[in-house]
Amino acid sequence: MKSRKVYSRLLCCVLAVFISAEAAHAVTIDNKHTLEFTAKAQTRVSFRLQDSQGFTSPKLSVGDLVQWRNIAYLEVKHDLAELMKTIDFMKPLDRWGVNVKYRIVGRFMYEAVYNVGPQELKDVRDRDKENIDSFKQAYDLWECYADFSRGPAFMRIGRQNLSWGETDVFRLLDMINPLDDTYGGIFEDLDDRRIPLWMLRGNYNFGYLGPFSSLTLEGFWVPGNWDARVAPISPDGTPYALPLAPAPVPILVETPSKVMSNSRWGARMMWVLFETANMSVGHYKSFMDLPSTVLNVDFSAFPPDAHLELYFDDVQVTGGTLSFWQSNLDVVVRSEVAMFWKESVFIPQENVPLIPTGLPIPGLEALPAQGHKTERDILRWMIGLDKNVWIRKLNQTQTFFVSMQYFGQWILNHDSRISIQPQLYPDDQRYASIRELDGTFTLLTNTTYLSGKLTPQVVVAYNARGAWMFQPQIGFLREPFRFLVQYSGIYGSFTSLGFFRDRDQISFVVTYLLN
Amino acid sequence: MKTARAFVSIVGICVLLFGFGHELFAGEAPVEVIDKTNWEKAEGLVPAALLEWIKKGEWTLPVVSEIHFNEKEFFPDYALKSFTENVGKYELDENGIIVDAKTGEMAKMIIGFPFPKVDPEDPKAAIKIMYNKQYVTYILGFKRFTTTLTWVGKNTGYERDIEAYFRDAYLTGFPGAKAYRNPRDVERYSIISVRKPYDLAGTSVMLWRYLSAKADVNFSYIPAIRRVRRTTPANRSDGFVGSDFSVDDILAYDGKIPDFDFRLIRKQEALVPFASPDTIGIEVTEEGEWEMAKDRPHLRYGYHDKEGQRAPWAPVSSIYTKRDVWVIEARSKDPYYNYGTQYMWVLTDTWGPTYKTVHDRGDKFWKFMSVDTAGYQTKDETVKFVSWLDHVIVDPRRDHGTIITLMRPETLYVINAELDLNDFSLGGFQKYCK
Repeated sequence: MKSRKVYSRLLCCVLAVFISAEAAHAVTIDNKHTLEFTAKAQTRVSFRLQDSQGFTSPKLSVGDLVQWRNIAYLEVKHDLAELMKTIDFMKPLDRWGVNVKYRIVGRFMYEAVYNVGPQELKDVRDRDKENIDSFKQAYDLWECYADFSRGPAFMRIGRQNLSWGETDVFRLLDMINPLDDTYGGIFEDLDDRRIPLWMLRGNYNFGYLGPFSSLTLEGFWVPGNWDARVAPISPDGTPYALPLAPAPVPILVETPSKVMSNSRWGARMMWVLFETANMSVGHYKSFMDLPSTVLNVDFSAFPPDAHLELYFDDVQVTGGTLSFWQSNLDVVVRSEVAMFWKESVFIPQENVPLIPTGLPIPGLEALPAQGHKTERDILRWMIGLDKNVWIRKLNQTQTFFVSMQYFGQWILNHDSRISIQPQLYPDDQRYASIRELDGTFTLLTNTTYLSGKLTPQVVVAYNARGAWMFQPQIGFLREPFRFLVQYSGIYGSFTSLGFFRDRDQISFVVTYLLN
Repeated sequence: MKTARAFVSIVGICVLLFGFGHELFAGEAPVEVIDKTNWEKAEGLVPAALLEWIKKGEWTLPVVSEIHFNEKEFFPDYALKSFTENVGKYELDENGIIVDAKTGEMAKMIIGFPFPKVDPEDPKAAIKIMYNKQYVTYILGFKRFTTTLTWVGKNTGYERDIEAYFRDAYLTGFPGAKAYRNPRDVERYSIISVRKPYDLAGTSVMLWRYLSAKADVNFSYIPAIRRVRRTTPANRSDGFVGSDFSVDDILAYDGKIPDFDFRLIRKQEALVPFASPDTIGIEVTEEGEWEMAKDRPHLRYGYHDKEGQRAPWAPVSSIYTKRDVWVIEARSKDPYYNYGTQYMWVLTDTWGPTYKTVHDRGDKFWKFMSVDTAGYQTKDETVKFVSWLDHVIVDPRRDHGTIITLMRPETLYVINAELDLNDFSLGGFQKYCK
């Protein structure tokens, strides 16, 4: 508590310094701009546009405030090229031709909805004060890395994000960093949800080799004893939690421990083929964002002592990408394929088995049995097209960027019992099944008006089982501010995206930029 | 009384000196200022759009009879030699690609200007002039520099700016290019990285351009998805990050020459803008790079002068002098290109750009562009060259303009730069990404 007060005061002081500085200019130390301070402060307010349904808890109504997130980033960037020439212990780096830079980002976040939101959310806090108070605020050394480069070799060490693959909106090969969906769910920008990891990462450019150019080997390693964090789980009752039925038994969340065996690691090779096609192949190990569930039962007691264990299974992924520009149609084609080896799935009868007792006694019709993990190999792929289109009747000076994608999924050795964990209301024993083959389409389009000051965008996603997401937004900028109004709505079947079909909302975002 | 008279005299002299409403350079007074009272003096010497703005008082031309350096001599020695050595050495094939005149093979290493003598009767004259215009940047070797793009509106004045960092590596045009292995016949590598504002910072674009007719290869790093993506090379008439400039507008035309049809309209005399009648200082660094000196003129525009009548995008401190130009008509071969006919005014002596007018697809006048020429020189005069600095592009339909400036005190401008070609690889590009 004391440290939080200190952090708050420090944040206020730093923000005061920045805000009092001339708007839209970085604070620099030297006239070569090798050392720069920049900052961004943002407030985001969201109102629910639907009454809660099903197992969603607490029950919120249309017009309820569901988010008032305040976030600030303070960033320092420093290119050490000049300093290396003057500081003795750095001169060897300069003589060896090593370029060094570093970047540090501090993030400060406070979610005020539990203080000023509807009574239902205040009650959530009151019921679980310590957990919610911890959940609603964060003060992090968010990104902190140093870059070293010399000739064809590059290395980045520190807390960072690494994104592979060719997809937008949803992730496929881009599963290295976990996502934080707790404060805004899938309605938030992907990059805002990415959680940086302490990582060593490097690449080496082999240059030309036969038909290949820019042949590059890249690898990364997140030592498990440095960082084994996974996607956080929304506490019960928070506005973006999954709609789960109340658990009849306690829940224990098992996060990977900080041991070397829980390291994330990976390598990929990328190149341009015949100066035409970008390609890559790679393999990596990471952790799934969604936890899996197993029912653990201690039979030494009667009735048996049971708890649900939520665990984050590691997964190994092998995949590749291909992208190229098709000149006749002027489209960029993107594609990606990935095999997720032994990914955890959920088969209720295996993971959380209940054995019928035949006893007509309420509460004893079935007893929990020890569950076990279930896994399958899952093949996923994406094919996408990007095109800039002139629609001059609507915009004479800028094209419309149109991006379409199809995501496919095939579960090998499919079992018809494979399901996904939110239960089908009102039956807490029935789950939505996952088909052997599934697919989701996405469409994104945007353009700009008023010399880039006005930026409308629409994102649409459709899951083949009948769930839709529709997210139009309009951004406006007036230096040094950015304004955004965004509608997020999900409709249709209770599957995939559809689990959040009662969370439609409208959001208002104001951002202040220092530089 | 005597004191008062002296005071009035001093004030009067100051008014005379500064009353022209433009900035003077040390030791120089303009021959005259062309403004709305004497606009006829510019008739026929500037594009019609600029003349209209002079008539309205929105633009003035401080004219000098001579500048203090001979820009025709402001080229590296190898480029000066090419004025004689390259005569007749190169030709154009049916695709508009430069080939060796004797063998017909694609010319992979051209030192200096490919077509130092252009015959106006040559049906390919315009294309040759455009190639010379392109090589005038290549002859100076690698470059790295920062620029600021400033948005200005007629009613709003200064609106916003973004800062970008450019790195250009040319594999033809200057002797140093021979040191680099180039099995893919790359003409040029470029990276543009946006450094501010915060929300765009980190956005980077990389270009691989080829000597052959092969299309450019473009990559973009988009911070929002933290990934390098392949992008279309055909979208060059789109506004650059919402500005009035399109990607192709740099140096009047920065696309692939064979993608356009060019026609030489005429040669004429014009009043062309210079950043300064004097040379701008260059310092040679320890690494042998040529870096613009810190004590540089700060080019000012109408939006800096809130009391004045000039348009916010009108240069206040540029000077104008008479030079011969080629006027070239340009049309894109791409039916979806957003511009119609363009007219580019190219200096005959230095092959640099000076003016451009853009018509829309219905052939109505749409935009006007002006580019300042500048001469650079070290104190000992061993290094000297011309280069093209600030660009102004105006869209009068929207009463809006964008200024690209290199002449701020904090701007970095390094010619004959040391760049690592590894930076222009897929792996190297990651260095500029968050």
